[in-house]
Amino acid sequence: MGKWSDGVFECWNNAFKPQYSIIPSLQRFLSWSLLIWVVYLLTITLFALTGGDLAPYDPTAQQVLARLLPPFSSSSRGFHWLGTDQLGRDLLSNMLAGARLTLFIGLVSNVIGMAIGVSLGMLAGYYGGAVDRFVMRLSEAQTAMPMFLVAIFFLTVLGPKVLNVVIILPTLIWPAFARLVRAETLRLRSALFVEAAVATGATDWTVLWSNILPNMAPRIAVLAVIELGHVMLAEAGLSFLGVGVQPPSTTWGLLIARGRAYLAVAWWLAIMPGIMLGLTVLALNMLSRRFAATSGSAA
Amino acid sequence: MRTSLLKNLALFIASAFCFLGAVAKPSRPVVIAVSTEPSTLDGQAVIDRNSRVASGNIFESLLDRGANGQVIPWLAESYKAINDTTWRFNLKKNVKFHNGEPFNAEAAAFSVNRIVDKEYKTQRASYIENIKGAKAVDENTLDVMTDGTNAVLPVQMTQLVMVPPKAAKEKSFGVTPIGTGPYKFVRWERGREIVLSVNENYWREKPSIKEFAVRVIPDPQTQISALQAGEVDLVLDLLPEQAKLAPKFISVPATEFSYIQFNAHKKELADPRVRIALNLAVDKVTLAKTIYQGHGRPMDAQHLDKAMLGYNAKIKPYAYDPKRARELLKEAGYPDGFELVLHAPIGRYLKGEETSEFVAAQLKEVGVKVKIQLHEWNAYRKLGRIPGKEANAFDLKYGWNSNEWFDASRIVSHITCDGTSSKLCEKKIDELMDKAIQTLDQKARDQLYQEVWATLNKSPHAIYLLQQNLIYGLAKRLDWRPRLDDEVRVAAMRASQ
Amino acid sequence: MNHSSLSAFLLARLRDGLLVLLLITLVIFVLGHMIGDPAALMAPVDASEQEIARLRRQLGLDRPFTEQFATYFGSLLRGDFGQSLWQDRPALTVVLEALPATVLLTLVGLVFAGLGGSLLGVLAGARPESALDRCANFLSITALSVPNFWLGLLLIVIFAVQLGALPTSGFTSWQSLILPASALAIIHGARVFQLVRSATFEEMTKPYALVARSKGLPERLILWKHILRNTAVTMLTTIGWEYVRMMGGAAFAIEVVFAWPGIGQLMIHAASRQDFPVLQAAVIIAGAFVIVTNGIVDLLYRYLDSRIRAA
Repeated sequence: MGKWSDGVFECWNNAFKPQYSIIPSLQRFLSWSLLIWVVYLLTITLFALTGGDLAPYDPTAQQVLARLLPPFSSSSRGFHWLGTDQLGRDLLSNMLAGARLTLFIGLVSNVIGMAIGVSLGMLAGYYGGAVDRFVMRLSEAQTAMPMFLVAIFFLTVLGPKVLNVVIILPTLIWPAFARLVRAETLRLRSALFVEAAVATGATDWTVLWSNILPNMAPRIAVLAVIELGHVMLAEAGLSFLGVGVQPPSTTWGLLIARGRAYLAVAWWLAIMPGIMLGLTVLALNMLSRRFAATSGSAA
Repeated sequence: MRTSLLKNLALFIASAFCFLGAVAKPSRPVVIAVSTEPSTLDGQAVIDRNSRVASGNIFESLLDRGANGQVIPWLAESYKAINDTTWRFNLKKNVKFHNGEPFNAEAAAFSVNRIVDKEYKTQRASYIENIKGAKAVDENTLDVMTDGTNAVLPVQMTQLVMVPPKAAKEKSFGVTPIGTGPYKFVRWERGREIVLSVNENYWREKPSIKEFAVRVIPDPQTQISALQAGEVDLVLDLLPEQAKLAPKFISVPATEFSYIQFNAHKKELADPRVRIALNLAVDKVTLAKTIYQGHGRPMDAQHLDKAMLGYNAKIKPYAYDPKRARELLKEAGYPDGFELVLHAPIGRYLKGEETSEFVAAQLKEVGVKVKIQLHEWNAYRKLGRIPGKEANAFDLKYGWNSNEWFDASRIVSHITCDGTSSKLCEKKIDELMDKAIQTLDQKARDQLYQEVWATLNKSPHAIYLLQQNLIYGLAKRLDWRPRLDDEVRVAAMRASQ
Repeated sequence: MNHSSLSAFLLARLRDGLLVLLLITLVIFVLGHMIGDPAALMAPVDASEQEIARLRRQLGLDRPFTEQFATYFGSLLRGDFGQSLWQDRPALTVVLEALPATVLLTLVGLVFAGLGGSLLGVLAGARPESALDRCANFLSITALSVPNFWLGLLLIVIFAVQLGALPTSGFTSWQSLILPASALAIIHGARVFQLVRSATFEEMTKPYALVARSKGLPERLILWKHILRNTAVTMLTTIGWEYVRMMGGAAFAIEVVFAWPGIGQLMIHAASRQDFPVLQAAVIIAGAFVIVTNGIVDLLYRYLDSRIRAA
């Protein structure tokens, strides 16, 4: 217990070491152009957290006499920024309601994938030898597999449920984390402060957890932001193909699929949710690039 | 000398014309778009429309349907019931199958026995119930034996196609079909199209269109744009919103009736007042007007068109009266409503998911909270057969009922106590249905079925929604009037270039 | 690389490739057979319990797992992927029929992705921070941020629905190829662009480039001869990787959007009909494709790399 709390304390301390001090980074990081992206992401997160309560209308409220209205039109209920769908439901409200599940699946899958990738990467980089070969082989093998197709197959067999989606999505991203963490671990393993810790009798666990990991944290964070975007796009793809999340749950991918049948008469139904998803992933990509640049590591 | 010169000249002119005729641009074959590829072209095996577009032009039956939907002689010249369980058919003479095999009573008997054989896998199983078998009496006379009295045998025979005994025994029959029809099979390019060309030795008037193709285009957008581009001539099942995008469209009431079946064995749905209330709660007129854009009309609270046997002209659709619905629910003891689950199949019925959501919202208005559960088609069918009293039977199920028999008995499995799809048990209905089955007198049957529907009106087995339309998109050059049944017979089409 | 190390390398890659294929097959097999009840899924809807049990025995589902897998793998090696439940034909035939359409689409998309991405990448990398560079860079990041199927839908809306210039979907003529190939080209080209751009930029900062520029040789000569040769490796291997990505699943969403009659669409149709033999066959064939492409790219990389180093 003592060793563990030592480790946490070390980690906390290390977070403020000059190697990657946060405050100056933050200052360089936040410029006007990026402020827009940050604000956008915060807004989306807010809507996701409130689960559509802040949306202008009840997403499920139908009004069949006002169906398929284009954006900027009014119905007896009021103004519809992005128009209505085939049952007269407000599109903007549905998009905002869909943010919750989309972000939830994205974040959870991302965290799981990160956890798996980082753990395996650290083990591979630190212990080398057979462990390293195994992890690298596994990651190579997976890159050589049509993972998206395997995911489709997996979901067809086990059923398209949110649980299954969250199980299979991390498998798409863990190799990226593993590769990065392994390279970083190798690099840091021979660093002076690590050798010092080993010499003073720290256990492997402490070395990894409180010395090596905190130093990799910025780079892992950058990758995590990028991979969050990938995972969200993958979930959208799976839901669009019908093997991901099922109605009545909503995600942006599902909204695009629902709107597809009306592409010729009501293009906004499929296009608008895609714009929202694209902007979100774009925001994540822009932020990750900037963060990578200012924290001095390659993107 | 002169005669031979004249003869030569005549020959020359004749051959010149022939040459010109050959060189003259042959008319483009007619192309019909379907959304799923048939799994087989064996006319006895499949029932879905996409398959029948091809097989319906290759195969024929002893009887067919005329312009007003009535049963007419076709490969059989005449027929009558010679006793309660036997029907005798007098077959047309001198008809041959595409491969030269003769069509005679032996072939007809073979065809009937093939499809009723328990080992033979067919999707038409429900169409051949109560047919025991057939035997050839002589070269052109066939006897068909039924299981007990079967008043709908003539109707069933319109759906039972004739196959050549020798060719049908081959395993490849499903990919190289042979029938007696106006068109014969040419080739099947998997994933693309099935090509058929006219049967030169057809026993009736030869059709005007010489060649046509059934092209598989799964995506509705592609279908409509192919139609607009002139690449296909006929699209079945246009979306209502696409209708105006087609060069020409024809919207006809079909023999399809959409409904939401009740499980009357469930506690809340046992009381007929509740079921009537739910019928009153749904605004079918708006449903037809908005979601189906007018391509459909509320059915007269019976799964019958006025051309069908058993249609009760006195029954009208339930009105849209949510206030009365709430009153009835209160009377039945549910002032605060209750919760139900509505099951629907994915992608099977036009706008099915939307209609389910629409109905759910309307039922919510009268206090009944409905959760929608979507299922893949096979799972949905399995669900439908779970007996109503079991715990995992459905509460509500959205579906379409097709009545290509034009006969009220078609729905028997949905409304009798022992019906395989039935979730209702009313003694009176069972009595009436039993009586109707015993007789071959069509007038008596008509009366009995009218009474069945009158009884159902007081204790509905479903929320009766719409008689759906079929919307066909046609190219400008195609001239065709759809039939009352949904058969697509190319022989009846004309193409102007 | 001398001959013996080359053949050793080839053998190693072959062995690795086969192992991965075995792994894919195992994963697919496990998923398909052990989870859920294949007999119940394959039996007709009205089948009784005895009929399902009989089917189970027929399919050998009551045998031990290793025996089942061995039988399965054995039949795969003989080319027997089972019978499609939906089309009643060998599953392999169904998949192989759909394959050419996918290959055509991905190759055309790849060519344009490679050409466009490389060209722009070189130009942008040679002129960093210019308007072209910043613009192209931003556009490429945007292209990589949107779902690829959405981009396909957008192209359909603009070019097919609103302008009516191109067919919306399907494979009816060569024009049908334009929109789906463009969708692929834009997204995969964006990634090629990114990597070629940074590789070009790196080359530009190398001593020899700076020296050449200071000597006053026309810039074009430098670019074309040296930079191109050195970035060629990056270009080709990136293009190869993008093809792996396409065949690994990215192209399939595009196929579905455009109703392109390839493997992607086949998979989705098979999934909705629970036609497992076809699904399995599709994943394994696509996997084989990916592995082979992977191997070729790797080989190419080492070959080119050694050539460049030797030069």
